[in-house]
Amino acid sequence: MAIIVQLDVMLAKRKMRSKELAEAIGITEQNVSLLKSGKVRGVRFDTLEKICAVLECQPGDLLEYVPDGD
Amino acid sequence: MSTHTLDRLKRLSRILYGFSVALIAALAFAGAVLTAMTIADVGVLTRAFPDVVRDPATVSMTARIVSLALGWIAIGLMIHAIRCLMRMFSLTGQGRILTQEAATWMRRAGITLFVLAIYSTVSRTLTILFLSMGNPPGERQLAIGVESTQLFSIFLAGVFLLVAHALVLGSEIEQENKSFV
Repeated sequence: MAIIVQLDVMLAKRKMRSKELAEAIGITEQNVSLLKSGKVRGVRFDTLEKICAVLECQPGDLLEYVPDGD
Repeated sequence: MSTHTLDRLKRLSRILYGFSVALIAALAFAGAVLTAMTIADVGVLTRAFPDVVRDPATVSMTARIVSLALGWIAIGLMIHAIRCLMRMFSLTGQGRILTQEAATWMRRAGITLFVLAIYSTVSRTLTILFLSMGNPPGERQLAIGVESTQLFSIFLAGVFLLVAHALVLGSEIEQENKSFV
């Protein structure tokens, strides 16, 4: 997929664990894991807002567009 | 979907499930009673079709058995449609409302109701034909007609199929919604 989720990078920068983020934003750890691996079809704006608030970052820090190389 | 609406749907499903069980039992019981009455007294058929059978003595045992068999097929179809709905109520009672399974059972009930509506027209025609077989020449009948109840059944079947398609669409949206975090 052309959209790459950089959540793991931001979590590493903030020295935060997936479990802590899941608790802070009120979603399951499994969903955070799916989000980190990019195995989701989309992210709700309210989830994105909560992640940005907790990690003190911008949506652009979490998502990156990389054109498919085909 | 709000919790209140979901709870109400679950409760309604459980009530309808119980009602379906009672309905199946009532249909089977009524069928059995009518069968026993028809075998014991041919006058039951005479009273049910007063324009067709004037003299009960002209109705042969074969005609009686065929009439009963035709009636039991209709009861079987009704029970099948109710059982399909029961499966659906069972799923919706567990909160599995927007699912492919629920849609499948709803669609099956709709198809069965449609078949039943068509069958009841054919069944009535055949019953009249068999019952009037013993009548003197010139008084045998072949009546084909569509009643408002049959039209209503076809309409109802169409509504069931429409709702089933809506459920399929809803289940796809639900699945897509689940893949969003």
